[in-house]
Amino acid sequence: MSNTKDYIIEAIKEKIENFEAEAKIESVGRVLKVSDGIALVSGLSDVMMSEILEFSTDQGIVKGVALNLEETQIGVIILGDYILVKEGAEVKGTGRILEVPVGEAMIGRVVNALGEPLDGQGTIKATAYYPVEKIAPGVIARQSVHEPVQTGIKAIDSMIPIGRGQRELIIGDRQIGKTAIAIDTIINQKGQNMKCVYVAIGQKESKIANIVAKLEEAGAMEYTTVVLAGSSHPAPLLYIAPYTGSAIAEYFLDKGEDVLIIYDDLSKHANAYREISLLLRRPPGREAYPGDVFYLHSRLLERACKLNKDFGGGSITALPIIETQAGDVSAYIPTNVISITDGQIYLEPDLFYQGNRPAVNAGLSVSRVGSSAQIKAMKKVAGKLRIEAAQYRELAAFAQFGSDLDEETKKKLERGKRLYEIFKQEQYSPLAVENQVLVFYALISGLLDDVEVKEIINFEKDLVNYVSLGQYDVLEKIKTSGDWNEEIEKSLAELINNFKKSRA
Amino acid sequence: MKVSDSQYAISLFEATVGKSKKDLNKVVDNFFNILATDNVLNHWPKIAAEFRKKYNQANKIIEVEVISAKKMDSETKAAIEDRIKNDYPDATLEWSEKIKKSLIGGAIIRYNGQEINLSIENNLKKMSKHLVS
Repeated sequence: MSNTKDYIIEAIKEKIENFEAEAKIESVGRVLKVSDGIALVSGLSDVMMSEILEFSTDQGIVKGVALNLEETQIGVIILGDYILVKEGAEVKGTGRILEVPVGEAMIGRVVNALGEPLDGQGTIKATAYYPVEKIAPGVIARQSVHEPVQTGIKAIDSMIPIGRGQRELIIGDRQIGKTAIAIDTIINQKGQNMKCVYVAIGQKESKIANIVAKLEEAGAMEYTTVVLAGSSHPAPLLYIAPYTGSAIAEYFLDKGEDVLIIYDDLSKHANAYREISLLLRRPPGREAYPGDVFYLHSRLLERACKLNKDFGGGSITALPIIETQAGDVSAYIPTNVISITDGQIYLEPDLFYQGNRPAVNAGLSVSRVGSSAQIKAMKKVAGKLRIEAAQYRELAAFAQFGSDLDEETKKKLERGKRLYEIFKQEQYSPLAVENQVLVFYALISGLLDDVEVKEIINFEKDLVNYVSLGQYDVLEKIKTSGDWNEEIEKSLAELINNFKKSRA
Repeated sequence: MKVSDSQYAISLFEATVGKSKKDLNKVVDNFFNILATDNVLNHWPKIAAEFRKKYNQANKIIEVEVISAKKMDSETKAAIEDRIKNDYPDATLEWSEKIKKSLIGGAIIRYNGQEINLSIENNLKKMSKHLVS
């Protein structure tokens, strides 16, 4: 016991001896005015744009970020409780641009927009501090997107494939399944060598608590970080949250790893930025958004990229989410983000209420990366699905008139009905790519033509169960190499036929 | 067009440069008449603060505020003056001193929007952060 006591005393003595009391010259200003989360500060003539400032309050230090550098005053957004800041209070410059802690310690944690833990699991020992605002990698550092991100959602992986380093927008009305797609994608990244960052902007904290619980249940929190700027947080925190998420992702990118980042959602982010800009008296433009609202999102999304081998070979794949009002994709913010991203997944209310969930409108959805982000096997079986789905939609409308149809048309209609049944998928049930190939092959080879349309979902469920109980080399081959050849095709056909016999 | 407090202060300063005492009274009277006409008499404290800044800038006057745990002796004052004159050799210093016992010892020196905190209170805070890290 006395040994331990002596050791502790010696350790404290050593720390005190190593302490150096250095005198630093700090810039000091005064608060002129504070209201609604914005403070106007005088002095601090050498403050930098986006510099962290510290307000002295009765309850300690409150941080802020300088956003408006004017002739006689500075406009500062307060990153905390602005009620504590009083007129005349002292403000000190820190000389540091806004930065957040990053590192392996962030994985599995729920943090706020400043990187401070919210999950009650103790302090985070950061490996490094990364700036929240950073210039995106240049053209030379990049490489074209060629590796897939398997979302586990059949409708997406087959017709709107996403690649590592791509920006794919998820857009739709409220309560249509946008977050569900994002969460299923995160869950499906298990074993895919992918870190995930989920940035919740302006969301209900109860919703995020449910999401975190679901991710924990699925084992996804082992590779996921949640950045939360909830609806009860001040607008400045909502404004910086996506950039914080991006900084956390860039730590892994710099190590050559792949990261998936989801911004849920950027509509609320734009609203928060509008609020801050109006309070800072910046001139309002269209729909009262500031003139640089495009730049707000473009500089964020440009940080998602695929780097070439000389720069580590890592990637950040971004899935921004935008909420539309009454399906209006031609509104200001949606059109801005559509023009920035490399494609969009459009979720339609009509499809949703007809029972087609996920309610992906294959006609309006697009992936500008396309089949470069698909394994060979998926390319082979899903190559024509988009056209078949489009043809079915046209024919289905035509067939409503009840006229006599030729055999070819009837066949296409039946195939289309089965296709749409296959695209239906339950939430939190992502499907592995080899199983997707199996199911799609069953469809395109006509092996499902003798299965009733209303039985397709059960058939698929039973087929996936059947293959999960056995060890099938062909599926393992598809999973590891993504290859497709005659031998694989033959093995798949045999597998499906054997299953059908066992089911009969 | 709205005139800012800073603009009032600058115009007052420019109007008073090189004036005799008799003329100064007249200028100040006129200035207050203008403030009353513009209905901004209540802005006077802020205009005065801006005027003071402008006057000090033009006449190279630096206001030095020293907050210490006990009254500063002349040697310490001279040392601080030397240090500030290193950065601003032509400046005239105007001193204001405050006593704040919570500093325990040392002092906080503020001038020209900058601060050097040499108080024991500050060093103790830094040391406790260092011990915990």
